[in-house]
Amino acid sequence: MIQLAHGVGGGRTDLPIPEYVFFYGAAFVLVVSFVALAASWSQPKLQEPTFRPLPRPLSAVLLSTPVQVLCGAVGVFLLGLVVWSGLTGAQASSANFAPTFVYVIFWLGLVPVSLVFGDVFRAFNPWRAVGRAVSWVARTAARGPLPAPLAYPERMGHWPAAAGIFAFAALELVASNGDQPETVAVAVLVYSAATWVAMALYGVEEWCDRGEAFGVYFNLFARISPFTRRDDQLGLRRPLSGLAGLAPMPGTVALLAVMIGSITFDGASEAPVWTNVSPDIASFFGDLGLSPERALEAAFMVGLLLAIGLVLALYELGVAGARSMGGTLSTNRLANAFVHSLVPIALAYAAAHYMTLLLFQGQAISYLASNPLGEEGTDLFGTASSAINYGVIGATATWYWQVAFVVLGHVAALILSHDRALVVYESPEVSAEAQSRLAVRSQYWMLVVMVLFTTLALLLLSQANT
Amino acid sequence: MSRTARFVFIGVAVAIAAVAVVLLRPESEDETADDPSSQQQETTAAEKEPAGASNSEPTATAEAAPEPPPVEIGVRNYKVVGGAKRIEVEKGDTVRLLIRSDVEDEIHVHGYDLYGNPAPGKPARFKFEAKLEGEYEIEGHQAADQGLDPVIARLVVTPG
Repeated sequence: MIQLAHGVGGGRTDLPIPEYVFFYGAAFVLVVSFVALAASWSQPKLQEPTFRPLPRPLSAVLLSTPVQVLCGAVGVFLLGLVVWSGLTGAQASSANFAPTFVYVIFWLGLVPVSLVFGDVFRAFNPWRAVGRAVSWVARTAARGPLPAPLAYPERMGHWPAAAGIFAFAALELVASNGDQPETVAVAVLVYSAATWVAMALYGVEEWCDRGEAFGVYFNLFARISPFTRRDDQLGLRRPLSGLAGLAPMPGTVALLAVMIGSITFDGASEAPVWTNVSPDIASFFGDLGLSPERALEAAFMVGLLLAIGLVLALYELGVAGARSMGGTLSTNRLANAFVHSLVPIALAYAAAHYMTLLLFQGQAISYLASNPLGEEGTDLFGTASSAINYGVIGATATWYWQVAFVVLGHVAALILSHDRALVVYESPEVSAEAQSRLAVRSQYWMLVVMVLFTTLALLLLSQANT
Repeated sequence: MSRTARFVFIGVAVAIAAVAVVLLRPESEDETADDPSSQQQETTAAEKEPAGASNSEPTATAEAAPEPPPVEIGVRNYKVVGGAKRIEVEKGDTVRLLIRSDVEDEIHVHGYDLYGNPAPGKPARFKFEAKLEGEYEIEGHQAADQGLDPVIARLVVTPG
């Protein structure tokens, strides 16, 4: 996270993984891939949703109105705290609550929470909570149902979410003042205003499902979790099966490309491949008349777009390859059919790249919560003078965890992709044998793409800060 | 999928695993000799010596087992002389830093959270054990206040 290097997360930087860890990791990925091919099952296992309800009282309590109101209130309180501390607190990113809370606790911390416990963010989503509260007040005042919202345009799909995540990544990785408390607060205000306007137009739940960038983002990871909700009941499902139930729409592929591409750029921007060329790109923009700061931002924007483009191109390559194996499905249908298998890849990238930032800078929230504005003498919970313990994980353990995340993401992607292939080629006109052959052969290409993604992830880990 | 195909895939997996083990094991042993990181350590050590020689302190001769001389960093007008260096050590090594500055400053070793206050003619000294692995920035806080790049060196602690 280079732009934040001097503020949020400036304490410890990961050491690059050594060559032997890289090569063992890469070899292991190949071995696992071939074992996966050999183990390929012929009946889909994840495509039909499974649901085992949890005990009723648990669901009744967790989904009760008071708990929902309480969770929403916590979310709104934290949103307000971020804006208030960002606008009125010390303008040093390391001393102010806002940057660390937004970039580390919220953005990184909710990823493992979603992965394990499911779509927890939906309950705490401050934008949804305010939207529901306002609509309740309006309904009560009008003493009747409100006019129906506009229909959500099908063609808009996940595009607003993709744009939102892209804007967030640009703020974090491109904007030179993206870690400034005031910038963070203003960005939160702008995003909140846009979200509430969209909710007013298209309905609160509808916008949360498709347009609200963070709701959509955490929901994707939550689909890996075994915990889910069906109507008024919490329950268990097969891990990963929630992803198979993801309904792809226009913009879903772009959303995943933004998610993986932005982390790719964050990793590459510390590596020689980028640090050697970025001054040249920046001087090109400087020659066009931009100030040095703006020219550097322009160069980083180019880098971010290139990384997203690279991810998109890799995925399209796999789809085109699968298409060339035969069958009657269009490239677009195939791209949508397999896009859910990119979610574990995105998760692996995030986990490998940001694990230590969350582990270390996450500890900072202890002293920042006691002194959110960064003022002399404030100590709300008596933790204002606590410090980050950088000894919680050593470099060697970090390397092994990073590689383990990458390999696990790879395996999950292969499972999802193979399972989908078994149903996507179903057609009444083709014999079952021909279908199964197509399904297996289409997966060779997907496998190549997954191996490329995984190798890229390992490469980024081995190139960091060299 | 046919049984043969399954066996072929398992065979390929085993072959890759075998090749990886065979290829990687001797390589990693050979590489300890000319591993880039150990080379860098050698150059860092080489850099240290002339710096220590020019700064021959009487304490060095008085001690029975002379410690390696401290890594010297010069700061002139809030800017580090010769650019920010990487100081590479192994976990458990003793790190000694000597920071000269022509202005009053506050030097912060991140991660270890150590502070020193050099002033003209009064260098800041650090001596600590490299207990935490990872890469840590050493910053001059005055430079940060002036809007300059505050990093005067990077401390890189590799597993021992």
